[in-house]
Amino acid sequence: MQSKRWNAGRLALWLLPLGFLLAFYFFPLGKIAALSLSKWRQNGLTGWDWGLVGRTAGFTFYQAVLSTLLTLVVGMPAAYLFSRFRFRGKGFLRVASTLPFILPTVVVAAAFNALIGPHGWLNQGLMAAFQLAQPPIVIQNSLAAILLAHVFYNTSIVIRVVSTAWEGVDLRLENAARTLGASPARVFRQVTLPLIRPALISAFLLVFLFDFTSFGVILMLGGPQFSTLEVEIYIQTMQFLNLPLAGLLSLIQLVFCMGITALIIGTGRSLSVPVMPRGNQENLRKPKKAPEKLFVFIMSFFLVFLLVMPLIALVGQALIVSDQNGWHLSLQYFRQLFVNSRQSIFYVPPIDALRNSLLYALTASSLALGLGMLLAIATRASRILSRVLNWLVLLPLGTSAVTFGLGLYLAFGTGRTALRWYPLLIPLAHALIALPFVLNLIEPALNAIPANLKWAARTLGASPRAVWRRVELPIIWRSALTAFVYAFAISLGEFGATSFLTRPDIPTLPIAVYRYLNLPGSLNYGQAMAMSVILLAVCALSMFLVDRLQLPGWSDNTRKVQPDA
Amino acid sequence: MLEIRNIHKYYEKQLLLDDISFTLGADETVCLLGPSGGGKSTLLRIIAGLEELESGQVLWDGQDITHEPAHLRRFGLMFQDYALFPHMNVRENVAFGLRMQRLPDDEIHRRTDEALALVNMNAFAKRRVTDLSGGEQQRVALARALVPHPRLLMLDEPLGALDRALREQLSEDLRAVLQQMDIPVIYVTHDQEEAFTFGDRLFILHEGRIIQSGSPDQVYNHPDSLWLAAFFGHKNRLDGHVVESEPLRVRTADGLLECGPQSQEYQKGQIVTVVLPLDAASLAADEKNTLDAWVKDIRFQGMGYMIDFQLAHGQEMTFFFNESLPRGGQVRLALQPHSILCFPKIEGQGT
Repeated sequence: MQSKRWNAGRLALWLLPLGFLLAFYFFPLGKIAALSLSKWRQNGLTGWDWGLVGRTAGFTFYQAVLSTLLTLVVGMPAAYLFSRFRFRGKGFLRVASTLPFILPTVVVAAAFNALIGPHGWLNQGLMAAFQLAQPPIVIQNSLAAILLAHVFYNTSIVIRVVSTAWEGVDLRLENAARTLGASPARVFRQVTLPLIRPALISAFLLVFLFDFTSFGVILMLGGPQFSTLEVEIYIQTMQFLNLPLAGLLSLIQLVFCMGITALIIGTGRSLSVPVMPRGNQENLRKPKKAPEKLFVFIMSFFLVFLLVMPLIALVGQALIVSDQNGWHLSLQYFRQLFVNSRQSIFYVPPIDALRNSLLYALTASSLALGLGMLLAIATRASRILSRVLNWLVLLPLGTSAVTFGLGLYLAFGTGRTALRWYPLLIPLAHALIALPFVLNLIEPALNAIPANLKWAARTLGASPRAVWRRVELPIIWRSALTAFVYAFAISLGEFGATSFLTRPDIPTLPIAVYRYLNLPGSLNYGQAMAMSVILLAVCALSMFLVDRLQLPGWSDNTRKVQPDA
Repeated sequence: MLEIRNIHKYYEKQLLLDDISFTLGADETVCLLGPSGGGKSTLLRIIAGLEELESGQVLWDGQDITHEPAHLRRFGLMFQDYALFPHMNVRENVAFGLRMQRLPDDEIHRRTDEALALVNMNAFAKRRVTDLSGGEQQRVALARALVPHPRLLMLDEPLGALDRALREQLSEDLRAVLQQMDIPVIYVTHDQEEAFTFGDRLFILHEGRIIQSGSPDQVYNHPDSLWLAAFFGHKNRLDGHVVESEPLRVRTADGLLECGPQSQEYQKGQIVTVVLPLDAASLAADEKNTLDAWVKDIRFQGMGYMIDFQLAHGQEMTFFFNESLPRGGQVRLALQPHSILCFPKIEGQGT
């Protein structure tokens, strides 16, 4: 009865997140639109380089389709492997396949650079073996490098989304079809495939969205001749200072992304990826027949090569130093991070980037969690208003990182307001990027609390505030903490928006890796690798934490009424 | 004391509660009896202040508390699924209400211990509630609802989630606990036996209305409607017409039946449905009030026998007998006039 009455507290609950979105999402987006519009008013349609726009959009689409299809080709058999077989090393492979998804783009780019780049292990090995003067594999700055990195990145999404569904397909269904006379191929086509199709489409759309908005990978591995919408926005802003064109590209990107997001949401899918496929033991078996054994062996070997080798190469490149004495292990590159050398491109020791990143990440994840909580509470107070807010929150979901960066840069990064806002811009952008993920974790957890629990607390004398503090919060704390860690990891590795908002003297770790990777000299290269390893370690630790937090989930042991002994 | 006045409640544009009014005595136990989905739990939540209502009033000692927040009402409510807090152990669950009253720690401790002792759960104080069996959870929920000394206790299907054997045992324990309390109790159930066991008074809730109220035996023996007779399990029906209204005699296809006093009056010639309770028949010694029947099937039930009969016109009936009868044999059943129920025939409902 009281619940529907409006009061100051409830209103604040609403206005805070709403105001945040207005100020830091809609206002920047409006700035982008206004900028493009003003140019359009001056020159009309003729003022734009439509050839560039068309080429960029076309390539963005082309590489996204290609990457997605390739990812599915690799991911489907891998999902099959995980959802049907029990084999030695599966636990390791599962963790290994989870890792890429949360890795910062710069780490992925650095890792592939470490393996197949001009200084990469593969090239160095071949050069040493065949006495070559030039690196034989020139994959850097090619479409192949982009595709490879995208497959590396997104195979884990396909594995997670599809194998979760596949594990859910009861083996008895397939067996029943077999006993009814269906061949294995037919069983797959007519039983398994229809049952996993929703997951398959989900995975396709998700991977496509990620590939479509890929920025860091293309900037770092594709080289100058390839540019997607994201990269072109960056180049037009940073190199040519052609802000109106960047704005136009941003708007085009926005429309595409919103479309894909709407498609995903509209078909009732979620943008969240299940955290970890957990084996449904009944449907798992050890490979018995020779072809099965061969499949398991080849597939796991391939996955190790694809998913683990680049990371090993990365760690190796950071730890192995080659000089006149040959190759040896050394922490030299890590030690150099603490030195403020004169040739350094920053005015500060590179390790300061780690401190900046951690600070930004802490601020951003606190902000995202706080906002997420407020939004989650606000959305359940009123049905109509919650629908409005739900739609508003979807918008950031369909906005690419680079668009965020450009918008915030235009709105707060230039002009008179710039100085005051600068230190906050990066955490703000990160919080906005992480917000949908945070909501995705908190809202279901809150909704899963049975109404009876809250009612019981109320009749026992708990005020609405006490119910929140004593019942709901303690129940969802795991989800909240998971959301916090996720937001932290996202912020730590964020590159797209940051690249617009960073200042030379306050670099973040990903920015530093990017800069160092582009500098000549083995010391710079080694330091880039060392910083990537630090990023990798922090992200891996975060995911380990998330996995630990999952274990005794509240949903696992809800009040099931057990038969009395 | 609690008074409910003209409560109306809609759920998704359907009238869920239709003009509910009643008053509760000082330490009276009232059972709300009705089929599942009839709005019983909603009514409890309205009284507790957890649910809005379209119109009507909730009063306590003559004071309107319709808009008083739930946590200030001091009404205890025990949920069917117990709603124990999964993140607290048994002791913390029970102590929750006392903590909300910000009592000193030693008092909370003492009263929690007392409440746990009352339901025999002392040994489980440190257990996680998720590790408890259904019966144990029920005891904890009861202790949690009682410990803050509520002014009114509401129980929503307190035994509903338990299996039969456990239900019988806990039913006695619950009765013993409730008898120690001198507060009014509203007990919601869909099980008539439970309602008869616990209720000083019954309210029968059907399609959002209280269709009948009274003491358990009164309601059971004199249901006002054919629906309630069927709800109580009286399935034996015969259609006929009234040939004499005082005493009431009904002519059916299978014979003339004399009925005892009914709750309403019937006109001569009126079409009626006669309901014959399970225990209404015995083997006939004379010709009055009898039905000729064949023994179709016999089921042993422990206390006696359920016997299916077929009447001359094909109608089937089931009666409870203390002794068995030969299968296939023809018998003459005598019916006690005072146990025969009579209702106006509802069109469209066959017998």
